[in-house]
Amino acid sequence: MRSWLPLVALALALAGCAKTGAPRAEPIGKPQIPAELLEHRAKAPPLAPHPTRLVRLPGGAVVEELRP
Amino acid sequence: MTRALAVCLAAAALGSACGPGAECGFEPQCAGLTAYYACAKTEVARIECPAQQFCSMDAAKQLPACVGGYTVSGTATYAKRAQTTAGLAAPVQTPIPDVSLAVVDDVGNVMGTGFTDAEGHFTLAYQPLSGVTVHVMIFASADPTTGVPLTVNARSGIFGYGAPPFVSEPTHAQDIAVTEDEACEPFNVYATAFKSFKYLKTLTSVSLTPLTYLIYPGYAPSCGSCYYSDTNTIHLEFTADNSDGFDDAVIDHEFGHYVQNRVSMSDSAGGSHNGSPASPLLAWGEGYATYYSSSARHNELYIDTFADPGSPNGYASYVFSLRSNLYPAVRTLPMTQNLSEWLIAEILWTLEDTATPGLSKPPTATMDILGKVVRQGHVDRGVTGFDLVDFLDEWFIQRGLDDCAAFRTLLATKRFPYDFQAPGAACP
Repeated sequence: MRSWLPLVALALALAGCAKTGAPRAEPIGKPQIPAELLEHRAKAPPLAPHPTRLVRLPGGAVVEELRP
Repeated sequence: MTRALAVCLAAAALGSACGPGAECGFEPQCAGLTAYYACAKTEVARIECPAQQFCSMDAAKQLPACVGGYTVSGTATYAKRAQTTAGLAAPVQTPIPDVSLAVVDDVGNVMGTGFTDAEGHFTLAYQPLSGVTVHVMIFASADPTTGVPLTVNARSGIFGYGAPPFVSEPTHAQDIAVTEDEACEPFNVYATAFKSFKYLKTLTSVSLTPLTYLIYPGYAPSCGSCYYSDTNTIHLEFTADNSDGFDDAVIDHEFGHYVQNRVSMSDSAGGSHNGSPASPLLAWGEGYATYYSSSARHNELYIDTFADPGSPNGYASYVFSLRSNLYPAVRTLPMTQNLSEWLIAEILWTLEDTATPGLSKPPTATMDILGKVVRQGHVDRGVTGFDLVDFLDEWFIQRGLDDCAAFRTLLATKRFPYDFQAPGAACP
């Protein structure tokens, strides 16, 4: 059976090897903080829960409102 | 004259007459900002009230009418804690520019909407109902007339904050001062990203797709803090041990990934990284993002703070200066060698750093090259995909050979073995 692979390769070569931007396997994060900076610190108290309510805007969007 | 006929004649006088064959006979009413004049079962005339006006029933005429609203005015600020090399500075009330506002009643009905101006000032009109308890809600979505497509979301919707209530009256003055950390951090994300958008718009004219940040108290994304290119969403950690809500450098680092995605491209596979030599593709993607963060903030320091109850202000800092030279390449290895992301950030920062002899290029130069690498006809050298070699090649192809000497000095300092053989633009 005739293979299309050589034609595809030729088309890519004629296209000038344009960059493609391959899909990423993972999200892109920030640089990790070195472990030695973190290992001796005390544990911070957990965050207290904060009451919120949902407010629907005239256009349909929803705001999650934090109440002071 | 029957009342229904009177209504119909009044509606006709207002330009809202019932159409041919339609009959009067239903109660006129207000519904939100719309005045309805009911004419028949199959036809309803209506008037949309213009901006800053609201539908109100005229008690004497028993007809709806568009009238001016009550107003509340003031300045919206949040308590910003700036990054320092030793944690976070003391809070300073800082204006929230071009952000969304609404007047909301006790049960959550929205009675008027508007925006702050560039200095955080606002005058907001709302439905003129006297004696109703209302409050101003500020929510982190940019005024669309600014051209900044930015929203900061919480878990279930746009992040919002309710100011203290007041009883409605024709004119009311009240500043909104957000002081609690749990609300200030999301608004700092908004203000920082808004500034970055304005900066980006000075560098490029590409169309900007909507960008959403996601941050709320207790949020611990599995990736730490990161950018998802498929949804143009940046997730930021906000836990007791580590929050990035005041970390402008991190907020802008992730924004840098959005810039790459919009203006150019990245072939980085993503995943965790710590500055150690890594794939040239990852090094380019992360190094560019860190450089962009410094460029947008006009500050050579990348800082990431974290909670440290033992420190004087409760926070400590991880600091890296893009003016350092701590992660050079290896001169004897090929230019496809693994590189540190910090090396990339240092090189890009040096190009526009006014302290650098012979370079001091405007940030638009780097942005322009970033966009040109993706052109048809660009020859992919270095490793396969977008890396430092492609950027350097395109610099000389697009800008000529005037900078050859300065780049030779810079890359010698960084020990990167670039061959200066850009296709059609080889340096002498």
